[in-house]
Amino acid sequence: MRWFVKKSSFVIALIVLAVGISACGNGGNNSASPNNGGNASAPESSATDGNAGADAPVTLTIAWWGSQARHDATLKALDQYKALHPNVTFQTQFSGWDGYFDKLAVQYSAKKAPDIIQMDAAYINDYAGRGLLGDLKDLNVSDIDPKTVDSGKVNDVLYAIPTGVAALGMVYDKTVVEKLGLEAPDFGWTWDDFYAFGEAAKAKLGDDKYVYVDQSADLVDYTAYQYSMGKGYIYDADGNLSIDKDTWINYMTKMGELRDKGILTPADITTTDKELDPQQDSVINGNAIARHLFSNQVGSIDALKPGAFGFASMPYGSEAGGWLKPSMFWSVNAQSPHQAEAIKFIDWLINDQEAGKTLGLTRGTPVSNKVLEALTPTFSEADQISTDFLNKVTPDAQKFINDPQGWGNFKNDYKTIVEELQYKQSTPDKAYEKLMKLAEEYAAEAK
Amino acid sequence: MRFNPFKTMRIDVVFFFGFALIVVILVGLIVSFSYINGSKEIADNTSYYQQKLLIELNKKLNTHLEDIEQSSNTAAQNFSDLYEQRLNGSTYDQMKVQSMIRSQLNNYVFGMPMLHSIEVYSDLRPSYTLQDFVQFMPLNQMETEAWYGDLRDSDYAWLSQRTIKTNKGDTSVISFARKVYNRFNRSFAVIVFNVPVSEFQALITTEDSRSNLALLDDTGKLITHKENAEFFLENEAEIKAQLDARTTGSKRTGDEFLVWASSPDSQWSLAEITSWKRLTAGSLRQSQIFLAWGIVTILLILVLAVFLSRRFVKPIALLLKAMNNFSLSRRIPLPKDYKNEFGHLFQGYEKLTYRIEELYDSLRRQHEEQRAAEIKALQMMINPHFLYNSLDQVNWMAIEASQPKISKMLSHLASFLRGALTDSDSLVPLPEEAEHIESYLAFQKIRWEDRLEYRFDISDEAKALYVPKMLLQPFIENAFIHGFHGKRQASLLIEARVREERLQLRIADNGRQVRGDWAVNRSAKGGYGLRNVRERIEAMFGNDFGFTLENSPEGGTQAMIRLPILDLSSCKGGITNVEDSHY
Repeated sequence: MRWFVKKSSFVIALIVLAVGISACGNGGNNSASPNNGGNASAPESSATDGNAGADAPVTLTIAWWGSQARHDATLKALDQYKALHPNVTFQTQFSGWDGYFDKLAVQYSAKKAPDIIQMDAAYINDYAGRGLLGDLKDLNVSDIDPKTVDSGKVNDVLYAIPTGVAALGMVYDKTVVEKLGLEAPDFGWTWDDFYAFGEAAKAKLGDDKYVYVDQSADLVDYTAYQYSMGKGYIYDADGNLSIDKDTWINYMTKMGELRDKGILTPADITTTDKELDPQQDSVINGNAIARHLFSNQVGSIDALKPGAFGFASMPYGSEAGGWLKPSMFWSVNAQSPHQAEAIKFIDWLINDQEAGKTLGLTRGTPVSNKVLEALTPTFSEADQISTDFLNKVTPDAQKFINDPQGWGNFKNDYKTIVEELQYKQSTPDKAYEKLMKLAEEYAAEAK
Repeated sequence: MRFNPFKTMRIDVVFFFGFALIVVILVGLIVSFSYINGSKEIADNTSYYQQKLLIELNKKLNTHLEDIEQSSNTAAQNFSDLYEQRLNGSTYDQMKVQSMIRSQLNNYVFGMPMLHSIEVYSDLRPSYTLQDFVQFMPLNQMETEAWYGDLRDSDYAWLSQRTIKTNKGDTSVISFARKVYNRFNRSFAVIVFNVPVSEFQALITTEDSRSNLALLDDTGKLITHKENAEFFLENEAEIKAQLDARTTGSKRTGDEFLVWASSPDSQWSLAEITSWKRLTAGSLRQSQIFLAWGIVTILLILVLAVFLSRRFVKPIALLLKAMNNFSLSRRIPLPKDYKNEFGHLFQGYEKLTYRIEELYDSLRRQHEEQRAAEIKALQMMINPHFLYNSLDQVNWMAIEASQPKISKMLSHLASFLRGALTDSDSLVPLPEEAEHIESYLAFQKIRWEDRLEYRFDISDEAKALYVPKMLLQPFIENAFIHGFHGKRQASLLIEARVREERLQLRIADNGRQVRGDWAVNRSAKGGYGLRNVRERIEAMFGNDFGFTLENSPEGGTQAMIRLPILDLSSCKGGITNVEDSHY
């Protein structure tokens, strides 16, 4: 009798255990279940989740921004992963850059953010600081340059892993340049070359065509300018905005002149310009000849007009203007109940050679040395150009620092202020004052 | 003639078909009842629960869709307000306003997971890229859109399923379009909220996802559907008519069982079709099981009928066999253990055979007696020729001895014996019998001389009748032996009359009176002669006829003999006919 009681209690315990485990497995089915708050214990609980139901069906939500080429490559990679892991299904959310982080913000506030998030350097500090990103310590980063890995760390915790490295440079329409008989921009050209090319090209293009896409409202453009003028990065080591007043006003004044001369695209065209959009990218639709571009976008733009484009570095001043940017971080949502599965997927995405082949350079040159080695012999022409681009910028590339916490949206407000200049609603001095006021607000909020 | 199976057909066949008919009718009734009733019940139940489900789905759908409608309303208001700011502004203002509008609309898309994108038809700067959540289209493009007709005459409308381009490729969406009015009540823009069909389908997806569902708008237009659309498209008009007639209901057409529900406060209707075959599969299976049971029952009944009929027919067969093989020598035994009707039947038959055996036995006894009598008669029979020859020689001796009296007596005797011993019919005409008797009387007259008187009194009627031969002689002889013994004077009257349809013969003498116990003590009076006569008469004509002896009015004994009227015609067929007429 005692034996029976013992035995049966053991059986009951087993049953309870089994029910508990299956309940866990079921819970795992609900993606981004709202009652799973982003708390410190989330990684542990998800880890047990992962152990309990190694092959339990799981749906991972994944979001990224990018061009169509990147969308296609990523979807293909997801299909490959699904084939390897039949228990995993993906829900994808992808769009262009515009609105991506707005949407993410809304989703986070509704606790419906994706499990796997493509993160930008500008926002890592923001999101990590708010505890919205999961710790990626389980990720295998042995094949990645530690410096690259560090770019995804906040307070020594890895919250985001870059999928590639990209260099900022310029693209120009080679066919137009050749037709007009101009000297093509090249790596190592200077701002004087830049202006001269603009003058020369404009002279031959006529009134309704322009030389450069007006990207002065993009903080990236000014960052390159300040670097090239030897004034350092736009944020200092303490995370304060460090825009040199004279340099900025000079830059904006110069841009205003170029705009007036019709070397930069006028405001209305600038407004409708969409980088890498088949219809609305001003370089692609022929409104302008050149614009700045990251090396990882070479493949995308080349796909739209194969062989039509040439590439150059950002213009040099006293120093180089370009830098290497760890691009396209992957982060895991700290609110996600599937963090283990998500990390497993990211691990595959950055370390697997097949994944590397599928993704190519759509997110920049792969960070894993092994993947890069395996990939190099299979490079397409566009990949080769992209890699050359990167290699040419790398030697004197400027240092890149992630935007400080709280400054993620600063570039959007910066854009608005510069747009006033583009539309001649303001002067560079007034705009600078406004910018400083804005920076104070950001700084106050960030403290 | 009417066909009566109980009289003409074999019992087992009647048994089987009788039972089988009842079972077939019963099984048929049960099967059809269970199928019809079961199907109806299933249809009712299905209809009821599906309607409830559809109403719930409808509510859920409505909540979401109303959300979109209301959001679009708010969006239109905000749009209008922002748009007003743009009027008369600089291009920068216009740019700012448009980017604010985009930003606002973006937030609708981000905040409503159902929403895929928003299209704005206005005179704002067109901006269309697949990567954006909000697309700005030129106003004049709207009129070329296929859905424009749906919106033309109303402020807003749900547009049926269409395909738009997205960065995921072509995507089917259902859109809500709303006109945007300015403060002068002029519509100057249209905003279109795109909801992917997959979202709609997720909304109208039920747990079991077994059915064909269709979502229809208030005009009966098919908005979207799950699985097969053919039925809904083919029967669009019919479904619309049904929806107009009743908000919820069900109808069956062929294999499709259609259930629909629309709530009065909603413009949406949900219709669901289910395969009737699948619905009633259970009922059909039940009916099949009943049918199988029925067939099994019929088989069992066949066995039972055969068994029962065997059991019932067996005693009859036994009886029939017993009757067919009936013989006196060998008794076929019948079972003794039947206590029912068959038992009675067997007992009755046994009694009958017993009686028959008894009858045979008595017949056999009679036959033996008769044979013994015949042997006795034969023993007594003397060869007539030997008698004639002997009498002839005695006659010659008397003539030689000149004894004329003896000679005469002998010739009378010979004449009498000739009459008595001739092989003729046993029936003779009465006059012949009388003539015969007369020879005997003439013989006696010679001895008695004048002391003997005799007289025949036969009526003319009687003269035509027949009587058994040698009927009268024993009585005459009796009179001489017993009556006239020791008498001086003997007188004899033989009278024949027809009275009461009978021939009545009276032989009266004036001898001694009859003894009272003559009838008991036969040997005392008459012996063989009279007994023989009695038996002959009874054998020939039955008990009604016969004779009695009594004292005669003349002072002696008289014999009264009663015989049937036997004339020539009745006599012709012989004795058998005569006997038949009396039995």
